[in-house]
Amino acid sequence: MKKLAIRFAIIPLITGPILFYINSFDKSLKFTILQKLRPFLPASLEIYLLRANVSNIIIFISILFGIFITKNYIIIFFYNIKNSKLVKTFEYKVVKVFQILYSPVDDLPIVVFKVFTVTSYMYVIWRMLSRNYAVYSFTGEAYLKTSRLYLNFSELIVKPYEIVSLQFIHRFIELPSYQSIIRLQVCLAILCFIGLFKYKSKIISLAIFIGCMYLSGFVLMTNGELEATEIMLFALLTIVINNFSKKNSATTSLIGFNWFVGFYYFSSGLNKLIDVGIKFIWTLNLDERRYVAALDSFDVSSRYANQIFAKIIIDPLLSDFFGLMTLLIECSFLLLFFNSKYSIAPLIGAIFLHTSVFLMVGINFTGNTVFLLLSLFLIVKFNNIQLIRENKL
Amino acid sequence: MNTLVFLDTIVFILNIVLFYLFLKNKSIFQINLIILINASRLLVTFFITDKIYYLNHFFPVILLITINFFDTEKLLANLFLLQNNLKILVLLFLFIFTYKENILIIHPGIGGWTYEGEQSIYVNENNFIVENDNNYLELKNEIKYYFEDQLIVGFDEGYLDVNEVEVAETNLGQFILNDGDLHIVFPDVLFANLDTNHSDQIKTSILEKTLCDRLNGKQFLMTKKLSYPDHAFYFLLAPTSELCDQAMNIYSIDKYRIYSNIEDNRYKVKKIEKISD
Repeated sequence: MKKLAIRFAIIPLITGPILFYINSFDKSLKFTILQKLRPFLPASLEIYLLRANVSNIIIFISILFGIFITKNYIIIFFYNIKNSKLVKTFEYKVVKVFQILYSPVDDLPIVVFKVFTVTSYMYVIWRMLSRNYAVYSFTGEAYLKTSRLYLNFSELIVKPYEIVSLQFIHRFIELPSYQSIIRLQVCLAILCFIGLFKYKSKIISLAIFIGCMYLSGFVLMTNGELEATEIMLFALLTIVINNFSKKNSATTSLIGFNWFVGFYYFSSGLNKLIDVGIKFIWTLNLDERRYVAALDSFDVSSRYANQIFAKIIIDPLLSDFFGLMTLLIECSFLLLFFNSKYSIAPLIGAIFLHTSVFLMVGINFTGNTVFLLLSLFLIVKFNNIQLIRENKL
Repeated sequence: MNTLVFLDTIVFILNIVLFYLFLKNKSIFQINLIILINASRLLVTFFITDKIYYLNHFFPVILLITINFFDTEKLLANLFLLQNNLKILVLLFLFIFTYKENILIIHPGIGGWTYEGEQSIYVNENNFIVENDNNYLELKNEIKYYFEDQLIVGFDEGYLDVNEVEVAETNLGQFILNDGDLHIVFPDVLFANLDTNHSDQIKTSILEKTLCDRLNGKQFLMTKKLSYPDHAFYFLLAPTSELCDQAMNIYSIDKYRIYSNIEDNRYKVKKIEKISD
């Protein structure tokens, strides 16, 4: 085991500098070699090699070759790791942490689901009367010309969001008129209003869910990426699933909703660590952003920035603190998977996070607050937390 | 067929088949295959597109293979003890995290970025004083209404702020515009796919329907104050005192450049010039 460990420690020490050297290949050495090989290379291959990232191709082939020649060692190494004391201890500790954090959930009273449904429908009414999706009726020229979006990483011919939002029908049928979309929005608001009283209705919940998916689809179809509807849509899906299930599955559906909220925020925290790394904390640089926000607040064409940023200076240390808090809050959403009472902290933290993003850069996720509060309400119910002290008299 | 389209389609279909087989056979083998295939896709996409994003995300996905170090039988037993809704949800999370797809209701999470170096990009180093000029006085007064003599700290050496503004010439008068009037999440991204004529046509069609609402202090069907703001929220332009109750026709949209100084920590609008007719 020790020998293997030493070998595996030596491999990165040797391969590291080699990879680093190969990585610089495309900047200098490649061009020198290609110049010397020019008389022997066909023109098309030369053009390809000039443009291609040859260093990446070399690294890729080297990795595959390396895996192939060391496959026996890798198998032994993995086998030894699996049976090592270190992994067993780690596994034991993970289970222990899980047992400490995990709260088993008893069946919730039906009123909890009623509160969940009524709140979600009220939010949809607010949104349908505020957001103008009808403007997308004029975007026919741009429709279906979506590039590879930041939050859509596939090049599938028909994107999954196009199917689930039913937007694919506009490959065959023209976009609806301005008035038709307005009517649809008003209709959805009315359905939600009826749903406040008939909250168990299958048809109403399904119609609201499909209608909202369809309207949100316009945003993605025209390169909008997202408009902070995901949690709302999942809440509506939760209502549909519960209303259509034969046995009473309200508690399970609500646990699922909380897991979804957990995944939504935890994955964002994880992405920050993957895309930027731990240096996110000290490179967030809100102290620099403050100057941009201050000037933006004096620009009528700019995205919104609150004028408070024209009146304050942000210390770099404070920016680092916010960077740390952002990571801590988002990563702590993992606690929602355990139904843990400690997840109250990240839920409240995310509300502050959305508010500050709205005030500083004019990106509005504040509607998620409604669902974060719902999630908080569920955590209180799951853990049987008493908010009001019982009067002993 | 484009290489990426082919790759993504094949991997997507493989994912569906493997998830189906996993639910049927309850074996960790399919999960391992899903992880390996999706990680490989990210790596290959990196080699094709040369975008570091894919390489960065390849590592955490391939790291999932370390679940094999643990008691996988116990893990699977616990997974299959879950109710169907929750079981499918867990598998959906695995799919979204490894395949990186946006299916509207769920996506792989908003990425990370920082504001490092933003100050040097967006904040210029000019601090010379611009002479007061009263051309386009009506527009200047309107801009002054929002900003004149407001406090702005952090520019002790003085600052020259230059912004652009669009003004719509309509049958009901002249009105300052911003992208918020279009109610589209990222209009610049949308219009990037179109030529200027088409973009202007779409803009005009939208503004003829929406501008009156804003001038009347409304957002769509609600009053602005009580409404839920758009996802991309812009500077709050004030409603007009007169009610906009007629059909609006937009004749032209003109661009102006605004020169302002920050002097003694106070914002002063100095000069406006027309950029285009």
